[in-house]
Amino acid sequence: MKKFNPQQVEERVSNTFSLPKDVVMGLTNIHLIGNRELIIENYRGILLCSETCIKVQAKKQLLIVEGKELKIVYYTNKDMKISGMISAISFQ
Amino acid sequence: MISFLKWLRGYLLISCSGPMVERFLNQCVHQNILLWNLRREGEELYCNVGRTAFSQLKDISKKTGTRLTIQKKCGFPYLLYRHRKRRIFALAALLSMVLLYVMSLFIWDIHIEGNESYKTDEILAYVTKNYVHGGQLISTVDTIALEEELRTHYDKFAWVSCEIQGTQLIIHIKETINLNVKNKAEKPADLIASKSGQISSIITRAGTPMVEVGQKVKKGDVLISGTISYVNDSQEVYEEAYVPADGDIVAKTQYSYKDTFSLSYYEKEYLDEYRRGYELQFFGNQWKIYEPKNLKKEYDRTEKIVHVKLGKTFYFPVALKINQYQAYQLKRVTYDKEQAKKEAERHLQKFCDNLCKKGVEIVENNVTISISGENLTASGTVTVLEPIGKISLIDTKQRQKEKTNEHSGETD
Repeated sequence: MKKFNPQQVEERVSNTFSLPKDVVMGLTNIHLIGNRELIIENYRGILLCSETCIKVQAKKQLLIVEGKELKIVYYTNKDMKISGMISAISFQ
Repeated sequence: MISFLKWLRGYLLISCSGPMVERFLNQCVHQNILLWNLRREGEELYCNVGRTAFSQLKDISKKTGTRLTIQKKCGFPYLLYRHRKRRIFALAALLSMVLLYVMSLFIWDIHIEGNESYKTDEILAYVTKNYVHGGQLISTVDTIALEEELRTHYDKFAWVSCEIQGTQLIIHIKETINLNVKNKAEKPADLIASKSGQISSIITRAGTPMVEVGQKVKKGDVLISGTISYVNDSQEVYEEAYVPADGDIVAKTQYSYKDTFSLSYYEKEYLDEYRRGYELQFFGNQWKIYEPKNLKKEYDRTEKIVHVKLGKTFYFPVALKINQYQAYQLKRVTYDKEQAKKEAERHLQKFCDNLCKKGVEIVENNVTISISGENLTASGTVTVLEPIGKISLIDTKQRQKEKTNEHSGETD
């Protein structure tokens, strides 16, 4: 018997009804402008904030932004904007 | 704009240190406290927070064991607090703001644009004498009435629009192309010829055409009649109706041209002497600050007014008038034949350009240039195509009377 996977169900629902995945699956919405600015939506909070690395806890993953002279331009419940020389974005 | 609002409400630059700074940030955000410009410098984390939100941070900092230090206080409330003892300065600032507001309630400058036939000074004098003068309350200026008055007073104005921007009244003017030609009437009317000429095209929209293409007409001839005759099978008129005749009639007309000028003329030779005088204009009054003395007999005087204004349209009743004097001496010069012809052609071109501005089309010019002795004469005719229809209202009662008289004459 196939094991029940809620993530697969969510993805199927999203694909079938053409619903945005960030709403249905709770995925993080990232808007990147070159390597200078990054706008993140749909997250839980900041885990680490330093000049070279910012770790943001999303609903299901951990988002790591690496770079130089990183700075959070604003930080609210809905979204945050990171500026600086971004060199890498990765998920854990 | 947002940064200005932040400045207006006041904000603090704080530094946070402790083992759980990130937790402190998350807690702040969960309590809807806006943080901006977060950056890490060594062990410390710097961020900006609103003046009113700062008091809420204390509980969170206790809970998370974060030490907060105010680094800088920015914004308008702190500026006021710092300068609380400078009462006269504050009073002067307040007074100047009130004065600025009071000044903005009045008209301080009138600008006229689009006039060609009438001089700006002339229109300005008429407007300031009869309707709006410098220093009048903006609320009492009736721009619609002013537009109407200007249109009725100046015949050549086809369209006038007045608007108030800041403390400036701007009058936009458009002049008519040809006054004599009007093609629309509301009452029964004929279209008659405003000039003599040869019909080149006729389009009738209402009425009975009385002329044909190629026909020569004199001034006053009926081109399109406003009388419409209804005929029966035996081609007898049994009824007549009167309508406002409407149509486009273009005719070939002639303008006579004559230009005479002397071959020798005086030319200005400007000297190095250039001087300036200054006058101060304040609330409509003028005071001379400096006027150059011992000026030469002949000089060009130009005026330049420098207004005191905020932005483009916020004028104040203060201006500096600069009178510029450029001395010259007259020198007698004589045209040679080529130069004289070129000058005559230039005059003719100017005449033709003015005609074109009126909306006519130049077809032919028969101007001959002749030089006799000291004078040059250019004379001839310029043939143009122009609309010549002019409204002439019909006295319907009179026309009906004439008609009945004709009938009774026929029966007698």
